[in-house]
Amino acid sequence: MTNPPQRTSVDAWRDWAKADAERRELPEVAALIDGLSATIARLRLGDFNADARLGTAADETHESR
Amino acid sequence: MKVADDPTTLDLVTAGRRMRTGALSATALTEACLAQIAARNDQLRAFITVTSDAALAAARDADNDFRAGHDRGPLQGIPVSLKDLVDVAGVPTTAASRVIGNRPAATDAVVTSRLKAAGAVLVGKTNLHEFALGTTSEDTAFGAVRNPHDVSRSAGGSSGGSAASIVAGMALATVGTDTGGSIRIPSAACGLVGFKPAFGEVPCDGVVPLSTTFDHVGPLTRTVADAAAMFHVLARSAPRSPVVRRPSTLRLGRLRGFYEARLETAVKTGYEDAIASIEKAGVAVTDVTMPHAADVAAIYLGILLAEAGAYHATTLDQCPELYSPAVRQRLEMGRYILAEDYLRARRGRDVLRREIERALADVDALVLPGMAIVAPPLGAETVAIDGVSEPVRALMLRLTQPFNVSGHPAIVLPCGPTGSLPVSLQLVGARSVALLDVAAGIEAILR
Repeated sequence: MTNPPQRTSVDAWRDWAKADAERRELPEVAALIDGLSATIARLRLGDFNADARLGTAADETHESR
Repeated sequence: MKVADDPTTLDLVTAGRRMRTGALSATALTEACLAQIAARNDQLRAFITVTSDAALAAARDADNDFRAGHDRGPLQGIPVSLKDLVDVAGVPTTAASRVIGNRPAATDAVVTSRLKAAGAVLVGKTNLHEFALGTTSEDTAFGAVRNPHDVSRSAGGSSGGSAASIVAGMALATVGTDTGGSIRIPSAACGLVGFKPAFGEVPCDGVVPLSTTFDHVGPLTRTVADAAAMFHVLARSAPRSPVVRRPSTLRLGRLRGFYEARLETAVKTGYEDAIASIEKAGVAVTDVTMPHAADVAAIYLGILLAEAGAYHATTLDQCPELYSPAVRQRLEMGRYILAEDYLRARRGRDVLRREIERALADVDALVLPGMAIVAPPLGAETVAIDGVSEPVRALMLRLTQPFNVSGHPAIVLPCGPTGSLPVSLQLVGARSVALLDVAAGIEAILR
């Protein structure tokens, strides 16, 4: 496998993962990466990852979403 | 033989009672189960390995113990099957894969040792979705498991062979594993009781892992009392029959929203009828919500795929052609999950666990359907709900995986059928023993 980019937006992650899967001749896996990128985006956008000390809402505030 | 005279149709508690009165021997019961395996396994593909000689020897030992007045408890002399992820010394553990090979396990898994010590008669190792990474038990090196209620349909998975073995009278109880629903999904598909204990209550030592954060071991049985008997042996906790709670003492929290949004018509009808019966009997049912319910799948996949991909990384590189294509693809996806996203998912797990604890604060258990669809046709990739096609795998996991993420004990009970196929409801509690009491109370209403 190739190394992932050091700083990854979801788009950059998706592009890297798809390209690597294609390079490894795993086209079916590359085709599944779009779906997995939605999962990754959900994890990154989820308020359970926020931290008030970093200036974002804490996870206890999810009811106000 | 009439059904009433067929010992393979008994629940294990009743079979045990008959053995203790001398009306049934462990040897006769085991021979009857082995005969069912011989008659139907070619069609159902429930078993990968049948250990007839060892089973008959164990049955004779159980009978000798009964005659000598040595009673090791409710599993003595009971034919039990084990999912072929669980090690039995001297028998190969295949995980339904060509990757592992046929080398016999050197030692028993902890749960195997406990079953043997309790006098259970181990009849063999059951078929499953390869490495437990799937919900239909179709991707297996040993042929797709078929549902005994309708052989054109899946028995569910990943413990599909385990479930089929009970429905077909090949054993009276079985041990499965549940990482996203793999005990409860086949139980729902086959009309059985499937109990996932709380995380860590039953040891996974000697069991091929899928995701160590989510893996659970537990029983599939015909009744709640049978599930309790199995659980106390597997967990090595004090033996205790469930106390059937009176309806007027029970409070259930009905999970709405996400959990009732996508149900096949037969499931919706069966579940609504069951809830109506439960309320009519006097159980207090109130609505509860989980604000992060829609995040469950992302949290689950972020952890499961990463852990499974890591476990299989070496063999994915060395012998990728030995995996079923769909299983290989999902495992490969896990290798692309970054550490930071895995850790985000683990934080999500903590949030979800707290939400479920809050939802349980004022009720004895949460209630929701056991599975969103009835057993799907073999080969189906999607099922249409309200005219919208959705992947079978996502629909089968949707209602069970939240409680692997949270680690709470959960049990499915049959509440149908509304047609020719079983429908189930699911109960989720804070503690296993208390949940089994609630389940016994609900079972008494629904039967």
